[in-house]
Amino acid sequence: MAKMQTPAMEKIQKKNARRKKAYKSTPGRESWKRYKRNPTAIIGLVVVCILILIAVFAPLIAPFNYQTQDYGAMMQAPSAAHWFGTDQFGRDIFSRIIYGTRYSLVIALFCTIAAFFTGGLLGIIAGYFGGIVDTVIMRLMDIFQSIPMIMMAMCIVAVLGNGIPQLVAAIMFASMPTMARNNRAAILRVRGCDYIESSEAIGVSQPRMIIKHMIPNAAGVMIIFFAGFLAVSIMMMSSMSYIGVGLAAPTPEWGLILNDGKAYLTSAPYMMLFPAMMIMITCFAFNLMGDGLRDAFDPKMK
Amino acid sequence: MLKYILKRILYLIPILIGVSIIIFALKTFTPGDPARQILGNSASEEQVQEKREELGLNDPVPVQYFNYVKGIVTRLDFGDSYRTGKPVLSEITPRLWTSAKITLGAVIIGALIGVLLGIISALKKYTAVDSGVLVISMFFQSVPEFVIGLVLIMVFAVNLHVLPANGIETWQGYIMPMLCIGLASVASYTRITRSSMLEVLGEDYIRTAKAKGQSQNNITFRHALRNALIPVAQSVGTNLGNSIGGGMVLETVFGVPGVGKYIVDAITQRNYPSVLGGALIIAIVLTIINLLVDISFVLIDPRLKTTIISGSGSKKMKKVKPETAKAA
Repeated sequence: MAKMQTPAMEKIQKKNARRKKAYKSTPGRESWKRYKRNPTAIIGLVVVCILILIAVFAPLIAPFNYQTQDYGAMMQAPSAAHWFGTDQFGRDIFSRIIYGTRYSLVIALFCTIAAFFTGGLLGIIAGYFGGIVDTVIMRLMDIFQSIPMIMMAMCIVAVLGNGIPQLVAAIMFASMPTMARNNRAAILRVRGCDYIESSEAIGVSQPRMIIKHMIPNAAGVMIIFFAGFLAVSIMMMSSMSYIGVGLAAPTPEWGLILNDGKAYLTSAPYMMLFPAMMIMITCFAFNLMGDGLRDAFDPKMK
Repeated sequence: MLKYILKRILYLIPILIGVSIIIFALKTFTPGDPARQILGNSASEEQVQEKREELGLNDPVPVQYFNYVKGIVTRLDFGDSYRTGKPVLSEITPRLWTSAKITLGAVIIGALIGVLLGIISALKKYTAVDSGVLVISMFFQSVPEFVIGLVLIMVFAVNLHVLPANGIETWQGYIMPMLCIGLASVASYTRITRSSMLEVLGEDYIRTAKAKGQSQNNITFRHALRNALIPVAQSVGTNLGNSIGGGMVLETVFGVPGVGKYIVDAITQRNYPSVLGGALIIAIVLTIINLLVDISFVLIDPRLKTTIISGSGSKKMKKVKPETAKAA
């Protein structure tokens, strides 16, 4: 039966074609649409954005330098001049916390990137090649994983010494196995797909296959873990600094500020209250964002 | 079955060797001369050289590693503390028990709260209760344990004076550390319970039970929960490692004389043999506990047994495992 083509139908078809052009559905856009629907994820994203702005504009926001000691204003309770009070050296706690945002976010980012390019890459290789390569890499990661994460990091800092590069190395080694496991799982899920099989059949080269076909398709899941690891890095960093095996003293890291206030818990609880709240807010915001990303990029996983 | 257990025990060996290599590598990187540390600054250069020879520090690295492992296997020699001169093992053993009590309490608290919240969340799926439960449990997971610990100290010890802030002389001292570590693992139990409950509730036999006119409570607790708890129980092993890690920090916060505080104190005192010896002992204990947990679950769940005993089953088992770990 021949299809009838009326002028009215042509009009509709044209209209539809135009509409399709106006809204192009890409994976990124679809994910953002799903992300927007989740109110807690939006809260997380907003808080994370504010934290990034604080970190970037720290010198403009902080009323004092983070290490200026004012012996005329020691151990002062929160006031108009010192919003979060001052510590035992007369340093403004608000300014220290603001600068601390910079340290925490940047170090966490470095730790996560470092872990991604070691553990993550190993995971991708293991997942892609499979067989003996997979076995060797994953058994190696099993060994690393049999030492609890934070204990591993603490031992490394103990041996290498306190400092930012040492801390990054410690957290990197400690989080390598989890990162490898996650990325391997992400690649394995893509590996089984039909389009990989068909590109293999038409003779796509291996590097091209990994870079052009597998990583972009596994990227969503990898981004979820990346966001999660930022929070884990901040958690580990502040925990280690608090117990004295993280960064060294004058750095305005939140865990260290808490450590400073430890001795004055009963007399000046505000010294611990504000940095503790800052850690809570930051870690929670990153996790809310990570959770939203999971629903957005990988709706089937929940 | 016996074959499976033997296989798992054999599998333990490469892991223990690997861990010992990591610890040994860290040991060779430790700053300062161990011989000098033992003898003190007043010792002469010849005495130090003699001690180095005695400790075997002049031997090639592979020989040193061999002797290190030999010492551990034959004499249980994990090194001597620089500070007290006593073997690390004898110093750590009484502390292991303290840490074990706290970790066990934490696992029980975490699992109980987590499973309960998971059931509520699954029964009220996609409602405000469900998302509220998930957000609250995630809050405790995402905030470092020591911050929760500090808040609890501020409230219960400093303001209300109902619990001691430091030490475990009385039983009340155990409450806060256990609660902090337990709360951190609630989220993971909640999620696993929720998803496995949702899966089980969709099974045919639940529909049959409903059709027979069973009460909702009966279906939830007697039919669904029993099967839904299997993946939850299996995740205890994974969570155990996290709980021990969290415990290490919290022992310092609450002044609990456990393994964690021992290692943290040793780090601040630059007492390297205690740090690395302690780490190795904890890793070994943890690996063995994980093995026992795995084996006991095969014994408990008859379905796992059949997959393992039938020849091709062992492969299946391996494939299933990472997925459950991923869900965590």
